[in-house]
Amino acid sequence: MTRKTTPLITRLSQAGIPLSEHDSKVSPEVPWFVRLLQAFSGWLAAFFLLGFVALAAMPVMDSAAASMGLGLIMIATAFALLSAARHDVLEHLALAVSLVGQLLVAWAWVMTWDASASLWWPLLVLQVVLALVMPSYMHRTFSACAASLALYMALAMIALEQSTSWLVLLALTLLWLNEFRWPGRIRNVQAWGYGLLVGLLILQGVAHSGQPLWIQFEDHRVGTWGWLVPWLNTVLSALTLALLLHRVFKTQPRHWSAFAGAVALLLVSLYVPMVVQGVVVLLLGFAIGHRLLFGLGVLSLLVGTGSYYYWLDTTLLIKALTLLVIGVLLLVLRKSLRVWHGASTPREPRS
Amino acid sequence: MASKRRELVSLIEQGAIPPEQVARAVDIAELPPSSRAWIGLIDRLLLWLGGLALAFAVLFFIAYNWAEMGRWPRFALVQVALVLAAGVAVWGNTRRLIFRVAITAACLLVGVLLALLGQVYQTGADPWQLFFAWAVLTLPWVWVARFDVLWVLWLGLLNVALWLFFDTWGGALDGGFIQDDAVFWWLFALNTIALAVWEWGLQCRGWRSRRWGIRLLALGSGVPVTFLMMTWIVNSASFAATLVVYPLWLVALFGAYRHLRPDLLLVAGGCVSVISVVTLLLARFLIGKDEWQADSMLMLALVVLAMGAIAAVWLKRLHREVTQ
Repeated sequence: MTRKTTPLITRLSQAGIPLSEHDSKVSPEVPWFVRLLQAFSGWLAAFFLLGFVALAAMPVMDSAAASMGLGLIMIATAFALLSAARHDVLEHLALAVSLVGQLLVAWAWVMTWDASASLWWPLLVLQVVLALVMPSYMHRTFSACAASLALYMALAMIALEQSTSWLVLLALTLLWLNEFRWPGRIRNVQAWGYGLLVGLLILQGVAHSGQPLWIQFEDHRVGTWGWLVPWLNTVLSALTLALLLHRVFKTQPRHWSAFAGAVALLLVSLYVPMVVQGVVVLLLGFAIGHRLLFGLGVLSLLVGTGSYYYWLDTTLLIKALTLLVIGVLLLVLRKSLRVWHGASTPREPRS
Repeated sequence: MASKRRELVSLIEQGAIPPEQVARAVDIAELPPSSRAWIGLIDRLLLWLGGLALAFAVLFFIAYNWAEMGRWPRFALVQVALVLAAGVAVWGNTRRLIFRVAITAACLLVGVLLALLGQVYQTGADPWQLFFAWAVLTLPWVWVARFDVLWVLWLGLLNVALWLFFDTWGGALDGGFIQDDAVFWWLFALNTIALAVWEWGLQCRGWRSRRWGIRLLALGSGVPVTFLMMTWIVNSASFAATLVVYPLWLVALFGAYRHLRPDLLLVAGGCVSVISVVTLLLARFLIGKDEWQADSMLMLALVVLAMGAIAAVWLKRLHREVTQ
């Protein structure tokens, strides 16, 4: 089979990269909205399947050990189904079976530990393991997202929940910046990256708005490490920005304004954390030439702004003054950059 | 045609590029942007974030409702900000970016001014009136701006006004499942008309706009009509206009975005709507009002799985056809 010549193939050939006719059986990338549809039907089916299990095997739900046993069997079955076949019907079935299995395992742990700290760490481990081993793009995405939420719950038990979104952002930045590092695992890295990004959006939208995932953490807290939050967030945001800068400098000449911009973002993140997270995702998407990630960065920016309005750590008056100062500084910075960069700044299109 | 990134990923996955050459291939494909593109982005980002931060600062300040500040200084603050934003839009109307940021900020500030009016004078106006007045007052600016973001925001205001109107006068969500579906009819009509006009403008009048606006409007049209159909399934068994409108909407959606102007995202949205409606219809027949049976649940799970798989296979096939 002869491969169709495209501008990219021509450019690669001209650069001396030999393109082999290695394997033409690999299916083309599935669009994200088809995956979303698969997830939707998988979850809907899982809901009914759970209803079936609950009604057909009522005694199982009453016993923690039986729930755990059946749950693990269902997860193992899903793994076998996903490993054995690649057909859409089987992938759907496996996803639904796995989701029911996870719910049963979680149910067994809830019966054992209630909503205490002991519940969330095992759930986090379960989701991380599933994200790593399940041979399905959708499953990896879902598990990565669920892992970020479980991490939030686990950290909330020691009053560190406000650092979760920075941890998730650091992890997803690391993943997307290394998207092509392991050529055989590009889809896995993408699945984890998307899952963590969806988790970040949920955390931005819900967790910081005064309704932390509808759980009364105060009743279950086992430690108060809240004093660590500002320091930890600063370190995590600095690390994320450093990674991003490092990547940018691989293809661009170093310029002092990039360092100044990173420091400015770091300072702003101390006062408006959720909004800066949106800016970082947006810049990350731009840096790796990923349009969907860039668009999700804009969404993250909007969600972060909405979240900031409801953020309880400071009053609306202080928020208004903060935004005023930031707004003026950003406009002054833009004017200065246009003056300094002069000819290299693109001329604005006229209307 | 596939994007450069998608094509590169596909080549790497096929093993067409030797693993040791992948890093070089990524550089040659020029996925990372050029210096000029970076400067352009930073420039746009600083202007948008700076302009909107100032507008939101005024909004947050008014929302704080500072008792020690009299009504006149508050009005003066918002009005000065509004005049400034409008002034910058007029002054900078030859620079598209400055014009767009300023006019967007001005439109936001009109809403802040209306909210302040209600806050200070306790007008007793219903919330829907605020959003409706906001939409009416900003229409001339939205019209002259010819900016898709502003049009979507403006339509969003009308959607919120409609929802709040029915919420105030009854019928939006009357507890339990939806009893009065009037709000969904109005939302469906508004967004469908806007979608049709937008498509007509793109096709016949040469409007320049990206697809996301169309997609949001299609979502605004599809969600209410799907809810209407689901409401009919839950509440009624007699003939209703929904039974005619919903199939017609599906035919129009699949016809337009499968054949005339292929957009698989919208076709996928239609599939989700069909899966939801068919599942609810089956659930209504298989599961009695108060009887949850294990075999019915299993059958529903299998039907949902089958529908999802069929839709996914079909969409993948269409995707291959479109990209080749």
